[in-house]
Amino acid sequence: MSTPETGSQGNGLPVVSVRDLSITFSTDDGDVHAVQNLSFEVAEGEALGIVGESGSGKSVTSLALMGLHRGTRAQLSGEIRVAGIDVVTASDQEIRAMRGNDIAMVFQDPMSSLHPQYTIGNQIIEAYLTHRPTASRAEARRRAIDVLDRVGIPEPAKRINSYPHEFSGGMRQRVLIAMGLVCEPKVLLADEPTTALDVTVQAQILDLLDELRRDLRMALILVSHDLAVVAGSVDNVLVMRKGVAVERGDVRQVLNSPSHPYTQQLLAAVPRIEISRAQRRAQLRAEREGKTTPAAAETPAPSQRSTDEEPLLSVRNVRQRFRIRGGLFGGATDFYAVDGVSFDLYRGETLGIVGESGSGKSTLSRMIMRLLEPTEGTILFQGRDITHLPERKMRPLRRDIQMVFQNPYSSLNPRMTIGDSIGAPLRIQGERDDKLIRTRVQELLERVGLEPSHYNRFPHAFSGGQRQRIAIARALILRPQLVICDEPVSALDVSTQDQVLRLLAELQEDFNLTLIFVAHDLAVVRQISDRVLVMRKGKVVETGDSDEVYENPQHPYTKQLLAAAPVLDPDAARAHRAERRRLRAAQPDTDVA
Amino acid sequence: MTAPLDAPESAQHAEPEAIAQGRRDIASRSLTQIAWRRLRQDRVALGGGIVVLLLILVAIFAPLLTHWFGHPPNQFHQDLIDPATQGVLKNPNDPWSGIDPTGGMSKEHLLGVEPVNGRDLFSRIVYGARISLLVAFLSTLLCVTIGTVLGILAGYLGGWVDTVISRAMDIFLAFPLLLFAIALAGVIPDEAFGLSDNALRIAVLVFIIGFFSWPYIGRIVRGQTLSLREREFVEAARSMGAGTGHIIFREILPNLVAPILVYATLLIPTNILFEAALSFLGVGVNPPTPTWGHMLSESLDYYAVAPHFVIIPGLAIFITVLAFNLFGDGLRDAFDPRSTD
Repeated sequence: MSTPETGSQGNGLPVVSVRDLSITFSTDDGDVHAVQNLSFEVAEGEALGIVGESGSGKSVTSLALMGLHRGTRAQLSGEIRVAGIDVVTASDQEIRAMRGNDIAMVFQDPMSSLHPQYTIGNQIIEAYLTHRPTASRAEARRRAIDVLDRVGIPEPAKRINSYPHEFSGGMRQRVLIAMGLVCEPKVLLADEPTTALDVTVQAQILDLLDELRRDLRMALILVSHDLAVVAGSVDNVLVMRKGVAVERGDVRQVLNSPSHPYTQQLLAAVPRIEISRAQRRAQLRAEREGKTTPAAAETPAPSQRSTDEEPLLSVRNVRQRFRIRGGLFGGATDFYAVDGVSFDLYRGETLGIVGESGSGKSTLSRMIMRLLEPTEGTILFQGRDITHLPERKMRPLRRDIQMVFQNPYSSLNPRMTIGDSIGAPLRIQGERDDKLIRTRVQELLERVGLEPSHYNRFPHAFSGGQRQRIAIARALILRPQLVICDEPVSALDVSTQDQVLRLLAELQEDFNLTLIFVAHDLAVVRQISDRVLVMRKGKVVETGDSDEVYENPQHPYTKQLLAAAPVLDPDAARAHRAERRRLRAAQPDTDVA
Repeated sequence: MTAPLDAPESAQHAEPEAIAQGRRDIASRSLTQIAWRRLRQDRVALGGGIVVLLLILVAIFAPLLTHWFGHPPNQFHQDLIDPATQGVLKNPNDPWSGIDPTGGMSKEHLLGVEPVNGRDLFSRIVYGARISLLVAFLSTLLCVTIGTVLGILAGYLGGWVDTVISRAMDIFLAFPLLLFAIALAGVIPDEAFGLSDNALRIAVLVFIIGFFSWPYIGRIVRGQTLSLREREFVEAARSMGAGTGHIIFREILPNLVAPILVYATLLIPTNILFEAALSFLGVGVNPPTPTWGHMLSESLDYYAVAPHFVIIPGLAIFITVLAFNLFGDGLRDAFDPRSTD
């Protein structure tokens, strides 16, 4: 909680100053103004968060800070100064010296940012020697081991000879940070450093960045689309929208009393882990009643579950085995992606399944969907055993179970009009009347908030959020009983995410759907679920009523997950950070990413 | 920490995400339409396309063209030939006028005449285009069909089907094709399968070229299918209860049209060259039917007295192959998957 003084850590001298920066790309369809009249300063040791949706110009800005706009079609005007160097006018040689020495960058995707053919040691040593040509190789190696140790790579002296593929995503991000640190830069620029990572790993990386900048008195620029990610780690925030800075200021002030409507809107869209299901439902209903005709308000309250009712879906002890080839002596080893999961799901209920990547949540949903055949266990749907049902007999049942996939960019066939895509389930299930299909499709398009006359457009004409609406319409056209949503919003921006979640909540009421909602984002799951299943390495570690699990978690892993979830309140975020440190110290073996 | 509720209401509609309204006037564009727009801006590809189109028209209307601008392709004009050197005379009325290096190009014979027997070169080139293009198109069609069907099956079904088909591809690619073709030419009867003479020979050419070059396209289709199969829209189709037929024909095949079309366009010139090579080696259609490859092989004996006889069929092949390649390259750029996301 040593926060309030962070802003005054530096001596007030700006290491980064941007004045009146505009970046323009000329395209066939005219000029695109990626950034307009942007100005900000970062003092020594200060942390600045740049927040905005995709297309807000935040990444273009960070690339320009590194001088990486050179050689592209970007046209710059204004002034960028990094540690006294004018990035716009400096020679290429000066820029090369600046990168690494004065400012280092950590990129979004740790999987593709490291060269796969060199050991991490070689890559760090190379970076060091480029900037310290007089240093010996042994010196560089010592330095590399130092920084690897600094970023928390266990046994750095050994691991320095490992190749990138031998590390997990979180570890690779640490290696990249180490590579950035090796020349002791004055500024560390992190562009969405945690977007590709799990919640707990994200928390670890953010903690690491926070610690490093304090210990090394480095300035930190943290770029993200998620306000909650930057909240706990920065002193000042800059909110960008469509290339323009809409709000700037102290993080507490911006988050507690945002002045610009866009910031307010962004804040309202961030899913809150502290808001319960009931609160959220009441809030949504109130908003809806205020907006729509009274007819919509008459929708009955969601059916209360009575325990003697037969469950819609009943999963017993399912396991899914994958064979991994190339074990010792070429033999196959068995790996259980889902290992003995059981639960019941009742009509009208929403079950949230939370877990990190590799926890088996997607495999589980594909088994229920019967895209995979469970190796062991049983799945009963409406009392009927569908565990090993052949595809032919499964087909009529597919009317009742539908799925919304994670990636709206790949779940729609790019060569089919959206009308054809949405109508496909009807056609597959034997409907031949084209006029009827068309009417149904247009009704649904309207229902999910899209223009019905866009029936004949192709998916590429729609944004990510709109595509996810289309995917939802496709899942609903058969009027299913059960809809499985596999990370339906994780590929979307925060504000789009909020709109899609609202839509799902509305549709659940109107169509009386039973939902299984799979996600890695705890806050999102809490808002939509009645009950929660926490999964880890194929097993259920905790299950229960969602408010109960969130307010009184029993299993240490659940506690760890909850402590890792990003929160909006800067002070609460810092409290969580302290809690994480305590947890980590208490059980050092629980996966360091 | 409360967000005022009045502002988001209006701001929400300003969002790019907000529901698109009142934009009916913007017509939907399919990926094919986008590709066509891009192709139209590519002058080189467009030029290639126009030449290809012209060549096809020339082949179709060969009888008309020769009627207007030339002579029947097999008609001898021995009066134009110098009996001593077999070259073309400078002045047909003067047997001592010497050899014309242009091969007797005139209003009468636009591209001159052949040495030895004086057949009209223009007509022979025009008729030769028929054989070249016919064989190239048919063999490309054959290998695209075989390659697409087997490639999709191998890629989508996987398992032993994939193993069998992939090994078959390896075997076909390892086959000493040219030797086989030459050997086959020796044993072709005059009549078989109800076909005779040139029809049979063309069928054999199409078969040889098409049947042995399908693995190239088969591999491409298999690779594309492998990656398409893992896309979520295929999984989505399965989750709706779609059968294998629906997935292959409705979901996967439309996504393969662009790569197949591009590859086929690039395969045609290869097959034209292949046909020319086979004709050059004497495997092609029987003389006196004109083909470019056969003309080239004949011309080599007379290159000293009739250089135009080498150059003109060579140029015909060169221009055709170049035009198809330019067009194919443009097509590939236009369908570039990177810019269609």
